[in-house]
This record gives sequence, C-alpha cells and structure tokens, in this order.
Amino acid sequence: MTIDLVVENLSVHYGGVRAVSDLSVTVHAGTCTALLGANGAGKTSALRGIGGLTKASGRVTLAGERLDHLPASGRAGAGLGHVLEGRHVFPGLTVAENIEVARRRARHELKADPLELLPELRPHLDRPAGGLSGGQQQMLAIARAVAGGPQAVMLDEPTNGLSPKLVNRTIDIIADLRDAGFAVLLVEQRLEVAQALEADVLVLRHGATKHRGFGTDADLPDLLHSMYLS
Amino acid sequence: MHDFVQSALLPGLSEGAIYGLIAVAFAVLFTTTGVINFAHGQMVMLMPMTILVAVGAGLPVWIAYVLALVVMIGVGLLQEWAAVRPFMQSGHSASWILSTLGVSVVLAELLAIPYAGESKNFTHGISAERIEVFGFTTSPANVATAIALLAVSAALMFFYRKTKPGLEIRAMAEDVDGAEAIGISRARASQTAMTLSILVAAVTGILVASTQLVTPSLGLTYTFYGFVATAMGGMGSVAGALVGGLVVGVVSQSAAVYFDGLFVNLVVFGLLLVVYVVRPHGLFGRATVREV
Amino acid sequence: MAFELPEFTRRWRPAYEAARSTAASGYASLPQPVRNVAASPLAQSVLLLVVGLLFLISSGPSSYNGYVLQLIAVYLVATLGLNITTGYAGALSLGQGAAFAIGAYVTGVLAGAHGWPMWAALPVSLIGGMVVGAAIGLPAGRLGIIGLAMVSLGMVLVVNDMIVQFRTVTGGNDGIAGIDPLNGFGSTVVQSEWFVPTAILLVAAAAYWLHARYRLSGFGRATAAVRDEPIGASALAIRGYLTKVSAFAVGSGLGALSGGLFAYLSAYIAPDAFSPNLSILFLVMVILGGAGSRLGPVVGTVILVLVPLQLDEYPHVNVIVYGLLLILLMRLRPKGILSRTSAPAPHGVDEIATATEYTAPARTVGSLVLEISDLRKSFGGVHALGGVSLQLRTGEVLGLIGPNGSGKTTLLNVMCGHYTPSDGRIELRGTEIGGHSPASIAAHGLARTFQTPKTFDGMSVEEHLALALDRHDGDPTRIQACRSGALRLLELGGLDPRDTHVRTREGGTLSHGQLRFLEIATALASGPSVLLLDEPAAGLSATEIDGLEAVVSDVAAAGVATIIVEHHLDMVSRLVDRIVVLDLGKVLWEGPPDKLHDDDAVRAAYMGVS
Repeated sequence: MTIDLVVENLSVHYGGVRAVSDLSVTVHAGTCTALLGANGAGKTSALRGIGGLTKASGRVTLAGERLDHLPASGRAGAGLGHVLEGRHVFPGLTVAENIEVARRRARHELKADPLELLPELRPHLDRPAGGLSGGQQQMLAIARAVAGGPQAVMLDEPTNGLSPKLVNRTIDIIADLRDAGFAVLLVEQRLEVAQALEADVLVLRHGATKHRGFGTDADLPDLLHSMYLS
Repeated sequence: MHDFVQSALLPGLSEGAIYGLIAVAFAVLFTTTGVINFAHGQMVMLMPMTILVAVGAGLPVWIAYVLALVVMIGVGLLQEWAAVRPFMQSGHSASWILSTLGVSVVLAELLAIPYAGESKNFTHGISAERIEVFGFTTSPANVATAIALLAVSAALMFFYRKTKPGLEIRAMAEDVDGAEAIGISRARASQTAMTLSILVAAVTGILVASTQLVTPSLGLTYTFYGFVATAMGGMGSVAGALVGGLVVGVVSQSAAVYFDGLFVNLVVFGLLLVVYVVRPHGLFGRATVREV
Repeated sequence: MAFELPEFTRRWRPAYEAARSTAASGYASLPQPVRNVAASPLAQSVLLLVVGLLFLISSGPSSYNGYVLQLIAVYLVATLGLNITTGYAGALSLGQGAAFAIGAYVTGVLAGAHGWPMWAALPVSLIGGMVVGAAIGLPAGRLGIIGLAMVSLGMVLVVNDMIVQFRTVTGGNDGIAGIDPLNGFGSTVVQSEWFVPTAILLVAAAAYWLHARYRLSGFGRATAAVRDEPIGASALAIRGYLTKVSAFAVGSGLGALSGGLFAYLSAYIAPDAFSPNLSILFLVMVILGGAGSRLGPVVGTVILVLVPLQLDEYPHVNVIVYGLLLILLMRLRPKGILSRTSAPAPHGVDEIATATEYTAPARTVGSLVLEISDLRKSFGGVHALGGVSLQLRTGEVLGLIGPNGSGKTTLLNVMCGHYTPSDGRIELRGTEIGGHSPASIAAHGLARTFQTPKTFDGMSVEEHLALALDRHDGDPTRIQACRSGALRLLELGGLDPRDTHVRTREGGTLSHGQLRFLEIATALASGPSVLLLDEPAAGLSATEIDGLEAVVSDVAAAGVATIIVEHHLDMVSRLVDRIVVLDLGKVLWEGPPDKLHDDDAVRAAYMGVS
C-alpha cells in the first residue's frame, strides 16, 4: 500500500471568514507538493486544517487511514508529521530533549533518523532550544517532526527568514525526505523553492485553488507575480 | 527568642510547608494547563474526610486510605474533564476561575453533609504527640510536613526532567500547538498534570489532618493561602512555591500568636497586597514585555 | 473539544435561532422613536416598578409571595451592581458577597442598634460600599484577572472575620436583631406593613435605572470599550483606569445597598448568612442572564431566586445546584462570560449618516504637524530604532515601507505611546509627546489603526462611531471631511449606517474586511490631525483598495496628515507624496515614489526578499 496523503474538499472557517474553500490534493509517497500563494491566501489555514490544529470540514486520509475524526495529536500519532510555521520549538528544553519528546515507534518501514538527516544539530544537543538561531531552530523543528516516525511530512514556510545558504540547505533536506519515500506537502511563498524541488504546485488565492501545475512550468512566475500584486 | 522560635517560627514553618505544598500543586497544574484550581483547597479536605467517613462506616484504616485515594483521583479526573480541560491555555481566565469555583462549592456542600460543617479530630494520620528536638517541642506530624514538602518537590523535579511523561508535559507547557503537532495529546497532558496535583493534595490532606482539626469549610481559605504563597514565589515556579509557602506560614502563625486569631486572614490578605504592590510577579517570576 | 449539547436539543436549535433572529430583526425594524422609548432606562425601570407593585398588591405585603418578590428585588440590586463591575467593565469580582455583608451590617448597626431611620441608614451603606469598592478598584489595573479574583476572595474571608471579631459593634456570632424602619432618629417604628416592601421596590427600580443609564452614557461606552479591547480604547483617547475604578465603586455600592435592604427585609442579620457562597450566587445570577447586558440581571435574579426555592426543603441541594450551574454555564459559553453586551447609541451614527458630501480641493502641503528627531528605542540589548528622524506636514500622505524587522511597527508604537523612547524627541502640533500615554497622545489628535483591527467585539457599529464622536475637536472643515470620509468607508465595507440592522450588529459578528473598514472609519470619525494606518490594504480587493485610496486622498486635502505602513507597493506609489524606507531601525532612503526603484540599496534591502 502506498503511503499517500489524500485531502478531499477541505474547508476551514475562521469566525465568519472562509479561510480555505474546497481544497483537494493528493500527495504521493516519494513526491513533493507545494501550496503557493500570497499572504492571507489560506496556505497556513490549510495545513492547520489538515493537521487538526484548526477545525475543518472534508476528508483527510493517510496510507488509507481516515484522520479527520482525530485530534491533532492523534493525527501526529497516525503518522502525519507537521513542521509548524514559526517552528514552535520548546525553548526551555534542550535540543536533545526536543527530539526525545517527539520520538515514537515508527509504524512502518519508512525511517529517517533525525540526527543523520540533520547532523548540524549534533554539537548543540545539550543547549536549550531557545538559545539557537532561527536557522538552527528550523532544523530542529524538522528533526523533531521526523523523530516521530511519520509517513508524511507537512512543512509550513520552512525557508521563512533564512539566509540564502540556509534556504538551500533546507531545500536539500526536504529533497532527502522526499527521496527517502515520504509524502511531502510544502507551503511556501517563494516559487524558487518549489522549482528547486520540482514539486507539484497548487496556487491558492483567498482560500480557493486557482491553478494546478508543476514548479518547473514556464508561465508560473508571471502568474504568481500578477496574483501577488493585485 | 526561644519563645518566638517555639510558638511562631517552628509551627509557622510547619504550617508554611502545607501552604507550600498547595502552591507546588498550583504550579504543577498551572504550567501545563494555565489553570489555577480554586477547588484545590477543598480537595485537600476531601482526603481526610473520606477516610473519616470510611472508618466511621466500619472499614479498616488501610482500606479507607486506598478508597480515599481512589475517590480523590476519580473526583480529580472528573473535575479535569469538566472544569479544566475545556479552558486549557485558552486565555479566558474568567471561565476556569468560575468553573473551578463551582467545583469548590459543590465539594464543600457535599462534605458538609456527613458532619454538618463541624471540625473533626483525625487520629489516623501521622502522630501528633509531643517530642523534643534540639530543646524545642514539636511533633512527628510537624516535622513530616517539612520533609513532605522537600520530598514532593524533589520527586517532581525528577519526574519533570527524567521521565518521558514529565518531558511531555513540560513540552505542552511551553507550546501547545508544537506539542500537539508531535503527538502529545492535550487530554493526556492535562490529566497527568491533574493527577500529580491530586496526589500532592492527598499528601497535603493527611498532613493537615495530622496537625490540626479537619474543618471541611476551610477549603477556600486554604486555596487563598496557597495562592498568596504562589504570588510571593512567582507563578509556575516550584522553588518559589516553597519559599512563598514558608513565608506565609511564619507570617500567619506570628499573627495568630501576637494578635487575635481572627486577624490572621487580614494579615495574610495584607501580605498579598504588599506583594502585588512591591513585586507583582513574585520573587522567582519574570515580568513580561507587552506585545502590541 | 468543546462540550456539546445532547443530541435532542440540536433539533430545536434552528427553531430557537430563527425565533431569536426574528425577534431581533423585528425589534430592529421598529421605528427609531419607538426603539428609543423601549430602550430608555426610565421606561424600563418604571415598567419594572409597576409590575412589581401590581404583584405586591395582588399577593399582599406580608404573604409568602410578597416575601419572594422582595427577595428578588433585594438581590436584583446586588446583581445589577455586580453586572456593572463584571459585565460592563469585565473585571471578575468574587467580592460582591462581602459588599453585601458590609452594607447589611452598616444598616443593621445604625438602624438596629442606634435608631437611625431608613432614609439615613441606607445611604451610609451605599457610600460605605462605594468606598470599599473604590479601594479594591484602585490597584485593580495592575492585578490582572487572577490577582483580582484572589484579592476579592480574600476580601470575603476578611470581612467575615471582622464581623465576628468586632462583636461589641456587630453582635458577633449572635448578630443583630430588630432592624425595623423608624419614623425618625431614635423614634417609633413605622406601622404600615407596606412601607418596607414599597421602599425595596422603589430602590430596586432606581438601581435598575442607574444601571441602564450607566451603560448608555458615554462613560459606560468607554467602560465597555476598555473591557473589550484596551489598546483600541486607548487609541480613541479613552483612559481605562477611571472606568475600572468607577465600575468597582458603583458595583460595590449597589452590593452594599442591597445588603442594607436585606437587613430590613429579614429584620435580623448574623454572620453565617454571609459566606463566599453568596458571592458565587450573585455571579451565577449575572452570568445566567448574560453578563454585560442590561436586562440580563433581571432574568438571572428571577430564575435563581424562584427555581431553588422549590428545592428549599432539601438542605445543601440549593448550593450544589448553584455550583453545578456555574460549571455548566462555563462549558456552554467557551468564549467567556459576556453576552448580548451591546447597547444602542443612535446619536453618533446619525451624525455620520447625515454627513454632507465633502468635495475635496486640490491637495496642498501645509505646516509641520509631526516632527520626529533622532528617535531611538532599545529592548534589552536589541536596538529596534537607531536614530530615526522624520517630518510630516498637514495634508501630506507619507508611505513607510521596509522589510520585516526594519522597525516600522516599533516606530508606530513609539509614536502612539505604547513604548517609551530610549532617546530622541517626538513633537505633535508643537507638543512633546514622547513617553506620554496612548490615550493622551490620541487626545492630542493622533488616530491609529492596527494590523489586526482593534475593534470592540461586544459593541455595536453605532457604538463604535459614538465612541469616536464622544471626543473630537478642531477645524470644522477637517471634521466635515473626516465624517464624510468615514461614511464612504462604511459603505465600502458593506456597513451602511442608515440601515438599522447594520447599526446594531455587534463587532464580534462582522467579517475581517468589515472590521477593517469599521476601524478606519472610527479612527477618521474623531477628526484627527494625524492618521496612522498600519497595513490597511492587507486582504482587501482591488476595488476596496481604490475606495480606501480615494478617501485618504480626500481627507488629506482637508489637512489630515497621514502615514501609511504598507507592503503593497502599487497602492503606496499611487497615493503617497513621499516614501520613507526603514531598514534595521534607521531611515535608509527618503524621496518621491517614482524614484524608489532607482536606488540600489533599497532594492537590495527590501525587494530582494520576496
């Protein structure tokens, strides 16, 4: 059975406002899909809805198992890894403790060891996570999501606020995850990330899906430019 | 000087250890759920009261203890589900203040049924007989309160740092969304915190009953004193709870000795006001920068 | 994981909602004069009085029903008071039972032991309660909700002790008996059995009038605004402190007055009648009826006096029911204890709705209105602003842009008074405002909107505008332009102020876009000299942005100086006269919009990143 993440007709409401309307996307194992869009397009709401942190309607299925009746922690336990926007590491816990608290027995063959994937964290294992730089915290957040033995990984704007060198490193790590067989769902504002990962692309605007294609499509840059500025 | 130590300081430290235990229990629940349990003082009373009722019904003492512990945890988890978890880290303090107050009221009224609010003597706890220690008169029960405070604090430290559930509730305390996203369930974290808090309440209850008469209507007063200790020491700090409790104990005992007994609440109230004016975030707490 | 009502109630939900909204829109469709009368505190209190008197006459003053009626009236006064403190001002107080006890004992001692007549004893109780309330209210601002709850809890415990302690005055545990209404000081007891009941009903009606009038006044609006959104309130020049102290004083005063009435009703008082449970009873009454509403306390008091009386034969059950009810109420209202808190404020909206169209002349730039000199702000070791200098003239529109972390928001916050400058000067209309409070700076003519609209969830659209209009001053032309602009903004946001259904909608029911327009319209309605807009275009459509630009341009022509912080470069370029680029806490570049893209440093710093 392939470990696909399937989202059908996802809608998210925030106190009277429709943040996401009717989003449907399938992320196959070993591939990367990117949700692109400007600020306020609904990308983070979509991920939070899929992850269970925000109430949403619609179906979410992972490796054949329905997730939408589970709370967020249950979905994580079922194999949905979620790297939150703004990282949300535990500042008072050390790097090692951050990873330790996330460790769960993997339910399947897909495995990635957090410290093998992100060896740059090794020297900092005993430091409180709050003392790390933004880039290091981003690495830690990814390591933490991986430590839980997920089957699919969602990342919300992982390159936000990072220097170009770290952006490239992050792209490499996500590529490693994809190549290891995980289904990767990515939210980004920047097209270059989707291009570098050769991802499938969905463009969101005001919560609705406006375009589907590939990161490598030639007309995508102009399409995004016109959408962002209007 | 000897008089002061004998009549105010020693009993004050012993009583203060009890307030410290209440403040520690507050800290345990507060750091994970953001809730201060107004019914905690009443829960402290519930432990010895249940034992008294059970023994009065003919049960052997050790069974009464087990039964009381089961009742405590049962009531605690029920309370957690009804009055704590819905408001966990919600930012709406009014809601959980009122719901835990509601629990306190219900419990107090239930406890008033068997004994119509009279104070009872509790003989099934730690011995209260007089012993001599370094020239001062005290009792095993009084000494036990201090030992219990230190032991409970140490046990909690160990739990938080060295066990996986402890790590999990620390993580939940730091970031709810982040914790949920890695599979730590709010319900489990909240229940764990509540259970710990109840276990501390059970110990506290036996100590209270061993050192003084059990007065079931004093629940809110114990909650209040525990809170003054928390305010002094800083919200969410176990070390602060320790220090705060001891200070409140000595101050209140001194007030009882040197003024009339009915002024004690007033003095402790005054202490709270002083803390708020002088150092609102407590000795070990941190002031936060406002975000706009 | 919110508590969910059992399945069978869900079938009735739609019917209930339909009935409620029909009633609400039926009410909103009534002509304005009729609504004005129905909502008038005088009409409502007279109605309550008449109903009460009729009931009293039909059951007889000394009957059981008559006693119940009087009990309702007595408790109503305390509930009304608590609603002012906890409902209007949002300050959770567990101490109303203590105020009640104080009032009962003051009256008991004066009337019962010292022979004072009712018209002298009750006012002393009232004043005593107000003094105690003000004393609690003074530090309330620093305390936060938890601290305040604990302090008020402590008060209850202390008051109980004090009553027993001073037994020579209060009779200790034996209490005071023989509290009867007298004909004069040290005189004979009033013979008529109608006297006390009628007095109680009159006082209750008067208390209702005061309570409703409080909410409808400008001061009451300010109180509600501070409760809902203190930062937004300070941006409208409202000082929160006085509203809270006043709410405590009046609330406790009414609580004490209620205690005094109780002393006459039962003619005997003793300490065991006044426990923390009484405070909790009053809280449940307030919350059950809807904390913050005007009629709510009446509903809550009637229900909670009548229903438990049926349970009177079973001791303890009463109190257990209150406790369970409190837990249940909190579960059913996960968003907090307030409900139906908005009040009418038609006059304000009328002024806006009838604002005459303003035809803007050509835009000219006038004299200096805002001068910032070498402004610095550090947080610990972080230098958020490293010496910013800026000048703004009347009629000018200035765009402030910069990457994330450049200090734009910090600059706005320092200008508005939320942070104190570490160094440097800010002068508004010639007055140094650095370090002043936000309310005081707003009063000087600076209006501001926020990235997330700081509107008031529990107040209606018309109340928002009334808040702005409660304080305004200055040049009539500018004010006319601002009012006209506010009207256009409301229409743009789909909030036609001439529509009564729209006027009465609470802020919490509006969409994000509507709130944004409401916030800017409210800021404009106060007729400011300087307007600061923080990312106003986020989430707006192209048409909406055009409308916003037109309004800003028009009010600028009338002299309003505007600073817009924006990421939306197109909008900024069309509208502004000048752009200031901030980077890393300093001014990187300043100049006209068409020269912006030419500068290399700006391109590297700002547009290189997305």
